[in-house]
Amino acid sequence: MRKVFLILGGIVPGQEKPAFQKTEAMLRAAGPDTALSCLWLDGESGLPDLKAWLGGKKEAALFVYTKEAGPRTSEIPYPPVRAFVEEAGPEDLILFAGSFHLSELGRRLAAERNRPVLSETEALEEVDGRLYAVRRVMSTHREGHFPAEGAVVLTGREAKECAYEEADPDAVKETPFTVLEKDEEAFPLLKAEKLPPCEDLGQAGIVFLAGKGLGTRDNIERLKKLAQKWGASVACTRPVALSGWMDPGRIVGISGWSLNARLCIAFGVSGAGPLIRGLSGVSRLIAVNTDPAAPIFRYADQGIVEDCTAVLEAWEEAADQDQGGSHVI
Amino acid sequence: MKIVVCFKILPDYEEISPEEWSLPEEPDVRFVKKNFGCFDEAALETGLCLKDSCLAVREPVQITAVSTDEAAGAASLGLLRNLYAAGYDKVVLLPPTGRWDPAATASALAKYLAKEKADLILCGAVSGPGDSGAVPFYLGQSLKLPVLTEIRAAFREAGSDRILVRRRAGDFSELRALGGPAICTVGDAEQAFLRLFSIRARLEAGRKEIVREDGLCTGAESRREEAVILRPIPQEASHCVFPELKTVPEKAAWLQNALREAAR
Repeated sequence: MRKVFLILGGIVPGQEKPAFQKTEAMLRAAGPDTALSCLWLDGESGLPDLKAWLGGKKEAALFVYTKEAGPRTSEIPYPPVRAFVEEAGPEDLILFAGSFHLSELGRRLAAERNRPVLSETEALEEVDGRLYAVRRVMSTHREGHFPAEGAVVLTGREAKECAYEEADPDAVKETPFTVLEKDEEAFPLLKAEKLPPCEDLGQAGIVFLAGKGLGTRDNIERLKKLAQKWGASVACTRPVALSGWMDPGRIVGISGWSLNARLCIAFGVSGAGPLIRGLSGVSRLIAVNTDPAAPIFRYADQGIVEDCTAVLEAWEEAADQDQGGSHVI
Repeated sequence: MKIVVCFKILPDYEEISPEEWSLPEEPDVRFVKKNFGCFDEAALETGLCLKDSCLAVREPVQITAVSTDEAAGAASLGLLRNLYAAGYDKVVLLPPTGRWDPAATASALAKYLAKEKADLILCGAVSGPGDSGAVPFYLGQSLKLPVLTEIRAAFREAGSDRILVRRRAGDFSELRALGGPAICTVGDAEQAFLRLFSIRARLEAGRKEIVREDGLCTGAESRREEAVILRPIPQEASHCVFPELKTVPEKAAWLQNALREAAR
């Protein structure tokens, strides 16, 4: 019987079900006879939903770790993760699903336990009795299948989701998971400041996506003003953020947000593979680019071959003519 | 003070056409333009910024860049010499360890770094978007050094001998001190690009040798499985429609109309 040690944590409240749906898809590939041992690191938050999901499993044990009061940051402690997988055998699968920081703990665990780590895994697949992790490689242009047994598998943002039937949450017994050990403090914290809350770009209805083809920081600021006036959100590509033109918290793609907008207008975006991974949920994608051969046009629904600065100027004129001063759209 | 920055040189995969990616054979990347991995480039510049802050308080500092890079062949020598021009004191190449084998890469790097005894080792968070990001952790395990991730900047604290780092941890911006030798991974750095340098610096760099440590890293411990399978991703035919619009005002008005439709 295959055994899976599942570690869930750092899930944004309200986003638990999609996280379980992704994990469900992974576990189904592992087979119906899989014995599941689950560590929940988010305390009471989302616990009833978790139990409703686990209730439908043939063999599942649930351990709940509650973080100590007064956390300085949103990071998840490592000792419970290490303690939880203490009994994992060399062929057992260790699966992580949750926040970016949980994935980091997965990497640390893999190094400590001398196991391979398979990050950004999108699916598990069984081939000839062997389990493989499917993930994008070569800047997302190729699909790689990596042996998953004995590995630490980190669920990717683009992991497939699978519906599940909810069961009676009370049928699942939870065991409190207590770890007294403290993590070593090799890097004394001198100061921590809470950052202003970042807009949830995954939920935004209309998004202006700023690419390096916008040319200047000034043009980005112009786009932001128009977006504010017309009720759109603004996101960016990695090169824009690396240039210091926008906050890295607004990056779209495999290392940032996945958009689900009704409309996304991409300005000066070339269409690199890692970015395109973040646009699969967009209903209507319009690209504006001077280069008619830009890869973004392969993925866009509609394309405008034009200089973005010229479009911004025309939009600004339209905005100025708007007597109400706001919401031209 | 000794700083070592680990880096990787990667082909620019975006230069390869979608048609080539859709073929079963792997594209030939030998003649594709090479770059530093984007996070590695940020780590390389972060190391130089730390060097600057040490030199500002007259602290002697040596900064080395090291790679076990299969792509760092003759075609990448110019790129490597740019590191000298930018301010690196030593650029070291270890024998290549193969793809998708972070354990072997870390093992080779660890053998070199054990000899170097650096105060700070910097690595890019991942070689490229979606990659494993495992090397710093394997390295930490091998060298028994703590790993701090996602730093944005590193600098010498004024009036003390401590190195401080700024990092982003979830919803928090943190300032931490390094208590001793450590590994830090650089994520979305404050300075993401390698600095510009003068032509004179580049000419001088052309005379400096790339140090090859071929004998050091034989027998690197590999955990690579033979069974990695690569498959092309089916490419959908483009369905993009280009509206027949001639002038900029027409195009702008059409886009505005699309906004109106979406807002309804």
